[in-house]
Amino acid sequence: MITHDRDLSIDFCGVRFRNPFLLSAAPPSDDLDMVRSAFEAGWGGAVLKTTSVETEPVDLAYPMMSALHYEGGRIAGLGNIDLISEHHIDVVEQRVDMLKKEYPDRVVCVSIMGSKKQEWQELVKRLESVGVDIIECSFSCPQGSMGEEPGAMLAQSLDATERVAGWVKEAAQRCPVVIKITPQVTNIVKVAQAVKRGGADAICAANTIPSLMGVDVDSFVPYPNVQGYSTYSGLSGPATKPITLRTLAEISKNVDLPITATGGPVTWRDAVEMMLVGATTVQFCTAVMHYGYDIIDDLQDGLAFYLQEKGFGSPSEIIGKSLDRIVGHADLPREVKVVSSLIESRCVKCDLCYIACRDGGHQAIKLEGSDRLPQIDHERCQGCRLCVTVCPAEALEIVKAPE
Amino acid sequence: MSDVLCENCLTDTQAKLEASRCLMCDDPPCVAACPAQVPIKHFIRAIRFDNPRRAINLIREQNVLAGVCGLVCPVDELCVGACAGTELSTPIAIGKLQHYAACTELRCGRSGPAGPADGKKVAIIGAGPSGLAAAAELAKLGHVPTVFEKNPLPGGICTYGVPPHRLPQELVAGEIRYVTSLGVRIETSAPFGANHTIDDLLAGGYGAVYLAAGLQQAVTPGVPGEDLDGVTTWKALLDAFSAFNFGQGDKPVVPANVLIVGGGSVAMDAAGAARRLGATEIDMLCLEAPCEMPAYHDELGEAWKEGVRFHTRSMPLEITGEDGKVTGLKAVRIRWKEPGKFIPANAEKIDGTEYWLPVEMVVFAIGARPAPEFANALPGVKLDGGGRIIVDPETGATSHEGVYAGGDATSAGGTMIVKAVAEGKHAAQTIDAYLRR
Repeated sequence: MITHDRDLSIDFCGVRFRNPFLLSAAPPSDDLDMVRSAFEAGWGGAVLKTTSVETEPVDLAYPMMSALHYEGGRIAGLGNIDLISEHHIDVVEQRVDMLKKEYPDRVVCVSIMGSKKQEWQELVKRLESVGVDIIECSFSCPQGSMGEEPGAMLAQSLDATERVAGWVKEAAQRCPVVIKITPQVTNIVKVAQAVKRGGADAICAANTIPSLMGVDVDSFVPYPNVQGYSTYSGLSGPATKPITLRTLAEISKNVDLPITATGGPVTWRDAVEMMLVGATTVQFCTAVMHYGYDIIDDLQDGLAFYLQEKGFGSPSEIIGKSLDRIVGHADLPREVKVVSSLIESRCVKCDLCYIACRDGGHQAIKLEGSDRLPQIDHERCQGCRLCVTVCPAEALEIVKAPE
Repeated sequence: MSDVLCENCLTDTQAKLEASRCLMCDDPPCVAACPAQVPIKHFIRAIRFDNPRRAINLIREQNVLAGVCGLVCPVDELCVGACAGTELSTPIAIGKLQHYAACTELRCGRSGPAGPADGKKVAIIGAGPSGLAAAAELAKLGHVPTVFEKNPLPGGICTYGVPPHRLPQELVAGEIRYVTSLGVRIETSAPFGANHTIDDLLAGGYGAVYLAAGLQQAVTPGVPGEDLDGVTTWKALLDAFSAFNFGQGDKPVVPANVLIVGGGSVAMDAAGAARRLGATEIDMLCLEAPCEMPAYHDELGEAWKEGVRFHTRSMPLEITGEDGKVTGLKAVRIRWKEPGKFIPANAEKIDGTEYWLPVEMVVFAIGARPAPEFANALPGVKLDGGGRIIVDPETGATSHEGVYAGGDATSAGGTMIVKAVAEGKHAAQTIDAYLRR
């Protein structure tokens, strides 16, 4: 249940979302009943998992999931060697039809992938005819796109991105067209500009990141082990959030297109961060796969209370609010000397700040007193903030150096 | 802003760390074990996901005494005892997280949503846990509850029973503020029964009555010497201790040597109060062996740490005195006639094991019963042999139409605060259905 009573609706490319949160094109949106459950739980919309024309073979391999766990925490990152949906356009168009009739107030998007112009355009036409709200084009499946060089993603080619975006846009009579790109490029701004040149209405940033999830050092087979062999996985989950934020910020600062964010959000705070650097809506996958559809209540309450506490009227007011705070390194202010400072009441005397400063900082922390409290030498301390990051008790902060 | 919201409260960092350990099961055993059905998984997830405000909203929806229960619930017997995480490491400190959530609300001073108040007037007798829970639920359902409380302050056992060293009054006051913010009116120093009956209330415009008066009279075993100066009960001691703490009475005079008779939670609270009032030698005597005592383990541990001397499997025989004042208590060791039945009737004295404890004060903490005059105000309400109200355990309905009851005053109810809260909440739902019939 939600415990707020705020209007969280937002407009994206002329489509009204009851809240800015939707399922991304991924396993949680690959089944009709699953999407129904998500809508019942309160999600503003869903991007149905990427579909294709009936003739397209989808040859899955199992097992497909593996994860990066870190120091007792499960799923810092999730790796998946899944492909596009096994459900072709004939099934998906029926699902769209049913979902739009059953849930007229929810946004039904479909992710599509084709191998040639005729396929892309056929998919668009068939989906528009059953009432889809938004068409998202996967230019970035980590297992490679159809019709380009094997293993390469469409969005890694500027020409292909512009050309295919143009085909889709040409076919779309009614629906906004969103292009889902990959962070795995040398210059994300150029890709976004190609999307814009192609005429698309918005960008989805960004897809999973090609990764090797780990290696079983006994069998020498990397994860996931598919009968003695492995391949590169698409990495999602919290570990990818900083890459997503950077991608969003770079696009927002340079290209005038609305963005739907995806890649790593779990909490309302993650979603707000993504909106602050330019996203209008935020798509979720890994968090839902881990915790279930009902995290939508946490997201809605969290956003509502945040907006209320900050005095914002609508979620749209926070979009891009942090962008002017991101500058080139050369333009960062340097006038004020900062140092680390200890909040004694919080310190648990674990010495982690001391170790980090000694071996990774400027040897500015001493442990000389019998009380085991760290002392910070403000002459040596450069304010690098390593100690703050290692402190488990949040007992250190960066302050202006005393005169 | 202070890190520590109130004594014993987790810091933000500690709360996040603890919440991050929760497995977040789909059908959580902790919730199944909670009498008030607090959505534990969801409130812990809200803390983990940086949303303490959602956490307290979720708790309050089911348990209006969120902070109180976070502190005094016997969690090891309930939610924590059921935690699935126990098999991996240690169970989640659910009580502490709930207390933390309540404290974050206290820090922000938020209040509850006022209901539409388009319903009926309901009279609630007693502003203890069950009465407050019923009043809050009725207000949320749109009714207009008025709580009549005989004491100068609301809270019942939370205010006058559990001493402030276990339950900070600031926290209790916060819970009561929340209840009144919902639109509940509480009339204090308003004893029920002296001048009017339930029928007067029903005739006077109240659509229903909820009886949650608790147990007013402490029980004594009826041994010789109970009339001596220096013999008292848990009720008299804790009431006086509370009044003193609220600045409403003088400091109760307690001698150096105090004996508490009883082995339950209230006996432990009485021992704690006696120590804080100046007793230096505290003895405790009860029928049960330590493993059989009805007090919860943490309460027992607290008494143990405070140096209480235990005399277990013992029965009081006589209070000895001189010049009308207590000089000691004569007791005898017992064995159980039938194993596993820890009641006085099952105790058998062991001849030749009589002993005498020199003490200056004897405090009986062996139970409570309704005040006999209370029955006069309840015409048409069936009571059991002990004077407790007979209710339908599902609905809280009494034998009198429009009259419901819960908490310690009923034959089946009470025994712990969270259970009284649950009974109040359920009765309110029944009353709502009755009023809208």
